[in-house]
Amino acid sequence: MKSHAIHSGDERLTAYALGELNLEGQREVELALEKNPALRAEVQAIREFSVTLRQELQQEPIPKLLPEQRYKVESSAEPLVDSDDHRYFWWRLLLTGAPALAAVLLVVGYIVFPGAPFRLAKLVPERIARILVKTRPLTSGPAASEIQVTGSLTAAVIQSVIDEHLVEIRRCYNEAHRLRPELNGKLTLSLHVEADGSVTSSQIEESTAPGLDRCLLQLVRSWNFPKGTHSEPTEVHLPFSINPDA
Amino acid sequence: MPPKRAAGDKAWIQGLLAKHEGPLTRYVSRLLGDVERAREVVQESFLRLLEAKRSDIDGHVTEWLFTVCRNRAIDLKRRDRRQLPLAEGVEIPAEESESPSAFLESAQKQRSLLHALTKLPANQREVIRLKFQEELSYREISRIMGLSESNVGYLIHTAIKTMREETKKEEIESGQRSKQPMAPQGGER
Repeated sequence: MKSHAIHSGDERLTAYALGELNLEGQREVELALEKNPALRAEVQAIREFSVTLRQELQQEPIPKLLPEQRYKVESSAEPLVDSDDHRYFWWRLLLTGAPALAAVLLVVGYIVFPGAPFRLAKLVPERIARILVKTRPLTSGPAASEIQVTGSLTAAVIQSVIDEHLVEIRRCYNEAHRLRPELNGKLTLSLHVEADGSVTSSQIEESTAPGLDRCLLQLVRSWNFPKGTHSEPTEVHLPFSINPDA
Repeated sequence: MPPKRAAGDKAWIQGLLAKHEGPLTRYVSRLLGDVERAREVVQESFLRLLEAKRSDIDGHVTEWLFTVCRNRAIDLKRRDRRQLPLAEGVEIPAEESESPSAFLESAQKQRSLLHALTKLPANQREVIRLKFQEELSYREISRIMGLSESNVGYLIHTAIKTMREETKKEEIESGQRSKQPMAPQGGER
């Protein structure tokens, strides 16, 4: 595209004087300047005026931000990682420190009260069983006075073992009751407990609760009783009374 | 979500503050006629700069800062006009008003060149300041003001032409005044 001829007062002269023309535009203006001394004088005058104007304007005072404003900007540019660290420090300490603290307390507790964990381990299922029995009193183990024992173990020892297995007994009962809601009556199991505490034989002596008797029979075979004091086996007769309304 | 601060951000913003806080505050105080508000606008713009994505501003941070400051200043001026019913719809040229920014002009007010500048329309004054005070190119000015480059060239050309004529006229007038004989003191008897 052919551009228009450059004349006096042309804005391309101003752009040329200020160095704002591209190469093509510069060449065009320079060609015109070569031919026209008046245009050269005009460009020179614009340049001189620009220099004066620049000097005058740049001498003006430069107001700056107030120190607190500058500080706010600079502090906003601080890495947030530090503040994040600070914010989550206590959470991190808690999450990492709590397990370590628990482990330390366990070790110290075991050293100070060596038997406590075992006593606790025995207590917890029993407590749970008692709660279950209390809330749904459908059956119970035999009382010590009802247990017939011949051998080195006492009825109290046998009952303590039964108490340890109340949850399993309850599970057997619930299953049998689910199948036969009318479940009622009595059943008696006989066990042969060796001197080492293991149950080597067991059988149903009397039962009005089919299903429950077999479940309990399986159960007692897995029990372990304490060792007898005279290294003799023990014969045990366990009567269970089944009373849904109890 | 604002970008996470990197370790080098503080040094980066300090460098930009050192380079631009003065020119920006001066520029905005000219637009608003209020140095204190100009400072607030500039501070706010730097805070916004920290929130901006670096990839969006790299290579043209100067333009970005001037543009954000300018837009904010225009918003404030519009709001002021709404709040002052008497001035509604009337543009108050900051350089002509007797505002707190007058201190900026006080030292140079007598100079004919700057006097000629105050007579220009607001948009011509702005391009002249951006070009000669802040040393920005036509392209940068066009982006800041939202104009075409040729429009910027025209405004600058017209402003220079007017100012040259105005200063020439003032020189002639002051020359004529100096040639006039002094009136006898005390008057005629």
